[in-house]
Amino acid sequence: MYFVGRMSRSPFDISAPTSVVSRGDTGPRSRIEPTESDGELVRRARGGDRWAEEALYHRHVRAVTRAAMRLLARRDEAEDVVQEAFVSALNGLGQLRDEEAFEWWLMRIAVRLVHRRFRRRRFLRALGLDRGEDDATLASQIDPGAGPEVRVALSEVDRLLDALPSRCRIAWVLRHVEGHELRDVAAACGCSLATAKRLVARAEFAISEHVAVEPSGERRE
Amino acid sequence: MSDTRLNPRSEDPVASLPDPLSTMLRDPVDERAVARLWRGVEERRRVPAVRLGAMVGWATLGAAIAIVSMLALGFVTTTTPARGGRVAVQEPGPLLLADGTPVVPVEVATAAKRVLVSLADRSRIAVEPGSRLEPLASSAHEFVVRLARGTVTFDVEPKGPRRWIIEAGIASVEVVGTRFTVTRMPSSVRVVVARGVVLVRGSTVPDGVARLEAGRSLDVRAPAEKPEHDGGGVVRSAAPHPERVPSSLAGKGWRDRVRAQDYAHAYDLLGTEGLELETARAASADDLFTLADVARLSGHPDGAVLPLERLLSTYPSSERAALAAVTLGRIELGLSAPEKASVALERALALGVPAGLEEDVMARLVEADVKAGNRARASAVATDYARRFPAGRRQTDIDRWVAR
Repeated sequence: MYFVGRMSRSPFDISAPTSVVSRGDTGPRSRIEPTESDGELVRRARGGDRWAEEALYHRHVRAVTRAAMRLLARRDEAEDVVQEAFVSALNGLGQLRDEEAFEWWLMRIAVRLVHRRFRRRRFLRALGLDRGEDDATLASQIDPGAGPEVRVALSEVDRLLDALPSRCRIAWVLRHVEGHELRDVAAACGCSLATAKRLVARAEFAISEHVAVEPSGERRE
Repeated sequence: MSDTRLNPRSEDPVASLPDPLSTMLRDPVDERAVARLWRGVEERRRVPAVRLGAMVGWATLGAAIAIVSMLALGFVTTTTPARGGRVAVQEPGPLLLADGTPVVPVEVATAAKRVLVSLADRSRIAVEPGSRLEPLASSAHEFVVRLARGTVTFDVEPKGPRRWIIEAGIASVEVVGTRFTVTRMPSSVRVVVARGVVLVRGSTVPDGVARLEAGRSLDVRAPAEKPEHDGGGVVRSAAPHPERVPSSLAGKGWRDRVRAQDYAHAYDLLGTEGLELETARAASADDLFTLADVARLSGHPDGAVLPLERLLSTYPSSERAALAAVTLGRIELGLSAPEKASVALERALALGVPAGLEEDVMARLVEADVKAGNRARASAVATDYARRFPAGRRQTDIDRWVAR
């Protein structure tokens, strides 16, 4: 039985870690964790310090890759987006006004590229030419110890997400798969907090009703 | 994170999923992908991408028609770049020796003299006695060699087109144009820079990467083997080769990651051999279960088999034993080893699994027996299940397996 929330687990849930004392939550991190802040690394990178560039990459690559993969559900496309995002960010550091905001600036670039991918996918699908394979769906990333009923549920989520308008899909995945706060979802999507709430709510409604919503009211970027 | 269900309809399977979903997903990014993606980023920054994908979009109907026509005629096969994001460019070819022949492994006997290798781009390599150097990859942009042992001095032509990477086990050295010496010893690697700047990477290098300028040197040491507890009669496995020893074995790095529920990182720190070594060292059922969690929850279920088997053989009366047997059974089933799964699940039932798990264990036992071809026993377990759980929630699954 899976419950909502981080701590509410059955003591007999064998998919959960059973020998962990502390449950302070942190996502997987890169091995390279320099002590300098993002702002300091950005300033050094602007000055041509290659180490700082690489440190920024290692600090954020996992979060960006995870998000891109879970948004696009295609490994190749996600990796392509990640590379494009870092190339764009590292080449455009001069345009970043608030150096400490590198993380969400980078995520915003990645989300914009994901949008572009979705548009292209829709276009190719309309022409019957989308030959990509969804090889990184949520169901395919499930913990090996999870039961079949969970796999079925996640496959259903994958199917429902595929039918959502891309902006709703992105907002919902960042919020409910990656667990970002709404203000961070807004920062990544490049929209207001109110819009982010609305996008997430629309996706939640579509998923709760198990129907796809029409993208008519969606603002295009 | 708000404590809301993903779907308010309780009968819906989607409603029972945790929020956020990432808590039940494997981390899809491993260290190799991180390294590969970085190489792609560097490549793209060096060679501006001109990809067909950029041309496809919402531009004009004419462009779309043209693309459709091209696709229909088979001129275009894909719009997605190959993994790693390498852009197709004119390849001038691999780096060759000065005489135009391919670079081959160089091994210099201890009693022999230093060997000088001259390359086509005017770079030079001096291989000292007792050393072995092997080329790993050579292209227009990259030249990768492995220093198996000994001391080699590289004099790389400045401003050349290729990035040089010297893999020396626990450390790798990256450079574009400089002069430096790398010495690989059994438990350490020394890098001395005579000219230019190099980047040294290694799991024991502070922050993972260090910038080394002319006149500076760096010793990268393999982590020392320092058990956290005495195994007391436990059979210890052979010490891993120094180049594969994870840094965490000397300290508690991987345990810290476990406490933070960062299993992917914990596994990265341990590695396969580190996990085996810690399994041999573990002095309690809890430790073994933790190691199994690290492997299992980082997406390496096969790595959990060894600690779980050892837990069952060394601590059969532990409180963990039944749960370990259930977990082992589920993993073996997932690894397409139904015979082993059947043994483990049967043992779990014999050890006495918690009431909430019993139905699930019996259902999986039926599945394992059917897959293993032991239909008679599968039927017997199914009958037993129906008797004990007349309204069992796994009855449908069991019927499905028995009917196969």
